[in-house]
Amino acid sequence: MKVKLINISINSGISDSLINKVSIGNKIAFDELYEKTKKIVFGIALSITKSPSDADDITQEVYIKILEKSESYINNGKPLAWIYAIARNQSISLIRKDKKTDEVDRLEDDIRFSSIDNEIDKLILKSALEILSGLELQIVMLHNSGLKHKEIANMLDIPLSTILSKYNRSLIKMRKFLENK
Amino acid sequence: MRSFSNRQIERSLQKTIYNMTSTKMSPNITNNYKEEYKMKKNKLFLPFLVPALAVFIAVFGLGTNYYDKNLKVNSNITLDVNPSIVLSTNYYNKVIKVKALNDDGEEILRDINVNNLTPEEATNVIIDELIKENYLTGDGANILLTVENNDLVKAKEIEANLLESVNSKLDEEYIAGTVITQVDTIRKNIDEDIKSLMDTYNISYSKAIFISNIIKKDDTLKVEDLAQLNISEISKLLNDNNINISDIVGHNNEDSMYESAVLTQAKKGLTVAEQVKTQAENKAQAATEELQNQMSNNKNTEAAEKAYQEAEQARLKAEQEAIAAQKAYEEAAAEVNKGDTTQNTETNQNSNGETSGTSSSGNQGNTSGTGSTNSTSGTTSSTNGNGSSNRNQ
Repeated sequence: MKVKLINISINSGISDSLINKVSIGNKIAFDELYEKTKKIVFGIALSITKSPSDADDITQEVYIKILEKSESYINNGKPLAWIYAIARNQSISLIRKDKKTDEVDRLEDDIRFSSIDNEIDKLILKSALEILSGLELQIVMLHNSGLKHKEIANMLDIPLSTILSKYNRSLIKMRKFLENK
Repeated sequence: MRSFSNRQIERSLQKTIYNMTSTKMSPNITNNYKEEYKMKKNKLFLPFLVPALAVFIAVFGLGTNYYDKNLKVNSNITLDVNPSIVLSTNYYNKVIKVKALNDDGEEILRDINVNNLTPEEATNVIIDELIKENYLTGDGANILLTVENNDLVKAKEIEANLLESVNSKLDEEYIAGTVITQVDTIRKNIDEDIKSLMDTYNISYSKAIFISNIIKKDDTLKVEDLAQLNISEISKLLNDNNINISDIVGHNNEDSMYESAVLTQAKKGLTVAEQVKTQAENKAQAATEELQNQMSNNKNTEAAEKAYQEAEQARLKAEQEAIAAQKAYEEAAAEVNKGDTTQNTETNQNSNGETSGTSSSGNQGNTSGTGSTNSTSGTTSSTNGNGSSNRNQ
């Protein structure tokens, strides 16, 4: 039996209704969605492309896609998982299209990366991109983009315990790596 | 060699991500937004265009059939708790119009849209909202449902479906309550007394009929007092004054209210106990595997053995509690079934004297029946348990 579902997602204020408002052309809702999720989308794209400039381009494309596809969004209480899927697909398709590798070597040529003025910040980001595996990097980027571990678990559909252990292991890896630098 | 803390790494990454993320949307998105918005804006006209076109066709005689089946009110379903709401449905049994009959009703309808749903779906949505707004609580609630349709067979059919749906919804939400239903033809001319009752006290037609029938049975009760009460409070008042609801709505279900409430609680207890039991079994299983693992690796098994014993004890305790909960549930179910048998007999005896075609059925706390007090109206009541809603009119 069809019963009204009140879907309030557990993430930072992104609900089904916000996507629904975007789908009917509500500009305020779209701005709100952009403000609340831009860092998360950037984090996803960066963890896949490992290039801050590409991640920035992808972030812009993701919001165009959101605009186009918001009408087909199915209210299931997981709007972030939907945004994650769009960001992931856009990132993978950019890598395929430009036949780019995800090697970190070209990081030094990246304009956005070069614009980081603090050398330690540069070193920390580079170490994350260089030594963390795909899932580890995504978890680290998503958590530091503002998502809680529980929200990441919900979004990636992975047990919370796995997220926590991978996150802690990643930080230990990074610390060891940085200390040997 | 430099040392780094977790916090330092996190702060650095957060700062970097923040600085690297564009603060403003690119003109690319803004332009796209404008185009998409234009398209969506055009699409927004469609919902207005469709009904306008339908009315145009109906007016010019081309779509009479369409009008009759889609836009014409076929049934009215009134739901009274204290919030009073009327759902109007079309030939296809889909809600085409919703109206609140009082301020509380308006509050309930503010955040929901039940258009185009079946009456069962719509009442479920409304019940969700009533629960959210604390009009219906776990302690209990009484709901008066009135179905009006010129085809009484169809009215009875809708009534039966609604009764089943509302009962299972209340069960699902662990709410003990009574559902009282009435059927009638769609009124063209309302009796003057009823109309005056509706206007004076700003109450629904169905509540006015209900109160009018109560006054006919006991003239010591005052209309003005009853009109101020919600359905649960009226039911309680009838109970306190030793008036059988059966005299008004077909058969008495008050006796089974307490048993049904106990049953609902027992069912809830059983569900929880089974969940605890499953968790304990899983823990015991994990502890067993760990112990086996330690033993096969010739390691010190003292700690694993202790954990195993603790998990096993917890499992045994949970198992015993689940058995006790199952027993309590079976006893409560037996009590209700016993009550139902007695009640069914009473109902039929009542019916022989006062109504025609009365029947009732009960299962694990729910009793339901149908009856008709005259050729155009009938009443049914169904019980999930006892209780009262917590807001006054």
